[in-house]
Amino acid sequence: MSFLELQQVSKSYGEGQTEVHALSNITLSVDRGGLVAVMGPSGSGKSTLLTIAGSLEEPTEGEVLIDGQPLSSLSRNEKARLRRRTVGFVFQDFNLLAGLTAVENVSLPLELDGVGARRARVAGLQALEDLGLADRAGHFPDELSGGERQRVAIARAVVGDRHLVLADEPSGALDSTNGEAVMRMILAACKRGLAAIVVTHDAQLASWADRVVFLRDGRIVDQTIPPPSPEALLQDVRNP
Amino acid sequence: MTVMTRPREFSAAERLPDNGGRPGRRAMTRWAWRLFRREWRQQLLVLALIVVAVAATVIGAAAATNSPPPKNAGFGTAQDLVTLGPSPALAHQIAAVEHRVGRVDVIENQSLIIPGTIEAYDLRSQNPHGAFGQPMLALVSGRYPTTTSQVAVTAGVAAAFRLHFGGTFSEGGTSRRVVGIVENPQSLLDAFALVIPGQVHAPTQVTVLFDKPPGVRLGPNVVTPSSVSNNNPLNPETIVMALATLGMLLIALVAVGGFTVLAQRRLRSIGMLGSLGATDRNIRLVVRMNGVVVGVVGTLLGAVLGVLAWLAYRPHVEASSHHLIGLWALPWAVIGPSMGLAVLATYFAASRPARAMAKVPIVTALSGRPPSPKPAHRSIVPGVLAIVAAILLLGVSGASSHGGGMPELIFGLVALIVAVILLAPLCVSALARVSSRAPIGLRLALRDLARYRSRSSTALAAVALGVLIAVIVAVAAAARYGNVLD
Repeated sequence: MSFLELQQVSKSYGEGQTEVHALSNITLSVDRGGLVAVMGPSGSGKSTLLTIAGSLEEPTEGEVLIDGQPLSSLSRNEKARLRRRTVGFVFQDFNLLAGLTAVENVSLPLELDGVGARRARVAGLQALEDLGLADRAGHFPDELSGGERQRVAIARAVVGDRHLVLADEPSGALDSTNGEAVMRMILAACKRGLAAIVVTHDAQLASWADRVVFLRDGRIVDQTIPPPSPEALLQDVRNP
Repeated sequence: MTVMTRPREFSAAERLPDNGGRPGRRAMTRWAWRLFRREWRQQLLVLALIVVAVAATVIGAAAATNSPPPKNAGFGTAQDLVTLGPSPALAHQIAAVEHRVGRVDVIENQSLIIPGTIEAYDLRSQNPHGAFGQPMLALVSGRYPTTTSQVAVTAGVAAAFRLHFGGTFSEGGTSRRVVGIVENPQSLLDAFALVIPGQVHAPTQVTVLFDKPPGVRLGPNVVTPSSVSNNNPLNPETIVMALATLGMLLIALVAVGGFTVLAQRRLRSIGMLGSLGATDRNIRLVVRMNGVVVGVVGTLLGAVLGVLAWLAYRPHVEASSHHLIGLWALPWAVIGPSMGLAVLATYFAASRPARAMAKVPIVTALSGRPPSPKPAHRSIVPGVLAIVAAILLLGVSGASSHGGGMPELIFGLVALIVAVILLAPLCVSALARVSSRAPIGLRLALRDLARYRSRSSTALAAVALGVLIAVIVAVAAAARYGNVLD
């Protein structure tokens, strides 16, 4: 069963002559453990797709289901709870909260959900350690490099028991090495059962995904199943 | 790099249903405090206003309450006193009082003229260790007289008679050696020469201090501190408290604009918070906590500054009010509530932007673009009604004779303040409309003010109320002191 389903989702902004159709009749599903890459030119609706899938915006038409639950049936507070517990976002420009250290940023969703500060900190430290950032836990975002900041953002997106990661150009502000590292981390999260959608302009990074969806003018124009990723090929060589 | 992200389950008992409960509030408070530490310079205007207001309240309240003579001036530690004039039966009268009330402290004064001047001084007999009169006598230097041939004088008497330690003070044919300099801490203008009890042979006034035992009835010439104190409800504490309240209202109006600008600068962070699952309540809490932090820090700084300034200013107040003032004789009953009021003012000032920020859609907030201001369609009727009521009430107040009309005056001023606040947005819009022929810079500024009039109108209202207060003070002062013969 799909963990995330978008059913005939449309989104338009404005009214009358100024109306803009950002998305038109999008139907998309992501299974648990699945990684879907979304590609398309600027203004094609990629980011809107993510924000609607993550309950940050409501579709004009259609329905979004997360773990079988329609988002339209949830109140504002219930959607907020869903984002705290189930959905993690990764943005191009990291969007870490200034004034909070790396570990405080990571543990914040847990604290917002009522988990005690000490327990949340332990979980945050564990998430940072998993991503090789334990020694940077006490640093503030402006003391971290771009790659480190994005790893903190990923740790924040997966901390606790999240099941869905929505990443909007996570490697957009990073060099190719760090970009690949970030994709590897998202892929690792998927391998332990998380569903993920990654918006990217980079075809090479998109090739890591199980499926690539092409958007143009708010419509899905193509979907491909890419050839096996380099890691998969290596794995095949190791385990013939 | 090995990535070992593992799911960590948190039980339902570990999570609270909404808003994160105490951990959530703590996290929001921590973030608000950290943001203040990082960005306090951006809040300098509001912070400075709070510091100045609280410091001014501390100094103003201390000066206002300490300038009048103490309520127990002339009583020492006694609750009652009776003043007796010269009489052959004086000794019997004192004995009668002592018989009825028990322990008494007798201070005898003989009024004398400083030779060659029209200034008077008292030859005073008082026991420095008496039961009630000790607060009215203090030794500046030397010692108190202990024999009939010794005297202690105040600095004024010493200067008038050019006396010094060991010198001789002659009065009425009696010479006494000066052994000390004394003063009356409750009245520094009190000029007297202190001798031991029983050495004033022709007293012009005798004060008997005592505590009336319960059930004992005394004559109408007995006075108490409360019977001589000013029973006017508009005492210094009340006036300072009213001024502090008005001042905090003005600061709150200015702070609304400041906190709104600051909240909009943090729009992306607030959007990020929303995307992490923060509820509207969490977001409101962050903005409000920011206001509280500014209020608390400003209040504490202002209180410290005010106390330091008071310590420096206190000698001047002592000199002008002619009585000693205790180092820590601060009216905490006024200062405490004023400090609380300052924190409340910032809390309520931050509440409005807090509500506005919670309504901004998360995607809009994440983009960092402030949402377009929605056209406000507020009725001007309440504002017009308030100004009409203010004019009527103030008119009635002015027309009443014999010092009446105080309730009308107070309600009229309140209605005027409400009218200024309600009509300020209309004035901003009207200014923008008439600016079509103004130079481009002014036109743009006025139109921008009108576009964001939710915050510009509060600043306009604060300025207008500030000018209103200045005008009221000027008019009242002119009316009170306009007559040079007064």
